[in-house]
Amino acid sequence: MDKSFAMLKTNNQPNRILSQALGRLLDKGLVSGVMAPGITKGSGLPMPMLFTRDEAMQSSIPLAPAAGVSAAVQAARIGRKVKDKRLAVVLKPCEVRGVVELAKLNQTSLESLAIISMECPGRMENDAYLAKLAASPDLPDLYLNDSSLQDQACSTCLSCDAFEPEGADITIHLFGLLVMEHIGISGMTAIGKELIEAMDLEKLGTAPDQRGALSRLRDKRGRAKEELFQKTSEILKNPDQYLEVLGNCLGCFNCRTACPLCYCRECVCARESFDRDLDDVSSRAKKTGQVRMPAGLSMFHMTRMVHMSHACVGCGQCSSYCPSKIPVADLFRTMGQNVQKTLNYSPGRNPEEPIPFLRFKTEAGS
Amino acid sequence: MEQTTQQTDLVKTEQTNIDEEFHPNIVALVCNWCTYTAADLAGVTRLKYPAEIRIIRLMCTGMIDPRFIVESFLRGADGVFIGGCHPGDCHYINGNLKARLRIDGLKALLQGMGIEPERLALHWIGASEGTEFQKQVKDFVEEIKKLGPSGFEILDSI
Repeated sequence: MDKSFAMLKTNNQPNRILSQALGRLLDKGLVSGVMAPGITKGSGLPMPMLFTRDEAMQSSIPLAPAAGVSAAVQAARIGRKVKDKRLAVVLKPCEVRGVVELAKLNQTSLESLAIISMECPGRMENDAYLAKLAASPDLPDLYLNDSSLQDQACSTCLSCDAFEPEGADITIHLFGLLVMEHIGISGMTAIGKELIEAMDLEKLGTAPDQRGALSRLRDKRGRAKEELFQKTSEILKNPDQYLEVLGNCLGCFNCRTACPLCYCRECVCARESFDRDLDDVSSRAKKTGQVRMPAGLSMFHMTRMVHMSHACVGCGQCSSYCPSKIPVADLFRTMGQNVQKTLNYSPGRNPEEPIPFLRFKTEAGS
Repeated sequence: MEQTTQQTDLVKTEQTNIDEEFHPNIVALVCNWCTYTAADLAGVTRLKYPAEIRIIRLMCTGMIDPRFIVESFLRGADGVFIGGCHPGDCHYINGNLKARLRIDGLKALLQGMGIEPERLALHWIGASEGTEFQKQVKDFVEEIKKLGPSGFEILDSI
């Protein structure tokens, strides 16, 4: 029997049972802390929280179907200064990809983290989640079992076919299982396997066959993705449509703040070259005699497009943060697909794979 | 000198609108060590090349931030011409190879934005290749004239 796989009995409370299991990591002193989505008093919105004592883990919702912010940034930030023991972080697959990309950019160290991820049913937009939660407090558990609830996920998640974690040390298995009865947990890497064994979980049965359920979901989300990319690439190619979509941009830079990969301390878009003074603005008005302000937002979006097209991990936080509801993530993901195909690169797939622009060929030729 | 006169003439025709022919705006980003020297050589040997091209000298093609190119298009360029040293000849060892990779990525991006990838050209032109510079610039300007205005400038209205 595979020692690094465990079936956890859930008793209608998969989140609670999983947080108890993760509490063992702290209880047995296997990690210095566990970062997982959790709620604080007075707020129902799951935010990344660092737990250092296992009894505190009861306020965590490791499988929360919402994410106030991308946990990738937080995981990377605290992962930088880990001393002796590893830090366990519970991340959605897109957030795992984010952390991997940040590690490639020397913003964190993967060696100090034990990454726990799940087959992701998607996240809801924050306001939709909170509204639903007010009506049914068991939403985080019900969501895992109800595909009609999962269809209310944000548009990015509904069109995401990369919902299986790559690069995680431990994976939580949900699809094709009766999650109200049991969920699976398995170690994927040497570290993950070691941790699962050391957690000493009560084991029920062996690893189930999930291939059917996973491939059905992959097909469904894959089709939605193709449709979305088709539609979005039309928008990108057509200036009129592009302006219609981006015309409501307020220039608040929320998309930049939300992005797990915008790691620069000082953004180039905040520097003098983006300082739109009178000379700059009036030079833009030269042709038509008018110019909208703040001017130069297209350059901001194009700059992000250049920076993100090879690196976008498709978490959709930029769209969620946008006060004007601009589907920024759709634009980035669609463009990302074009550029990633050309450069033969998939962000967050493999920590060993260098960022494409550092991978220049040294041989001669045109 | 000849080139300067031609450019002044071009400005005049733009202002007075006498000339109906399409004169594309072309930004050339060239490296100091090879292509700029080649352009200089073309000038001293009195090789004529189209005046539509506006040369910007950089120390190396490796320092070309893709934003330079994007901003050129947003501010009304119809084509961007990049010239650097032949692979292996870079003054900074491999700046030109880095540029090549970035430009591959950027071409895919521009194509996704509906800009013909031909509007962005990268050529290796060594310091002694004045005639090659003349030929490449001529061909590029011809190509852009065929393609017509890029129309990308409209995106700069937000």
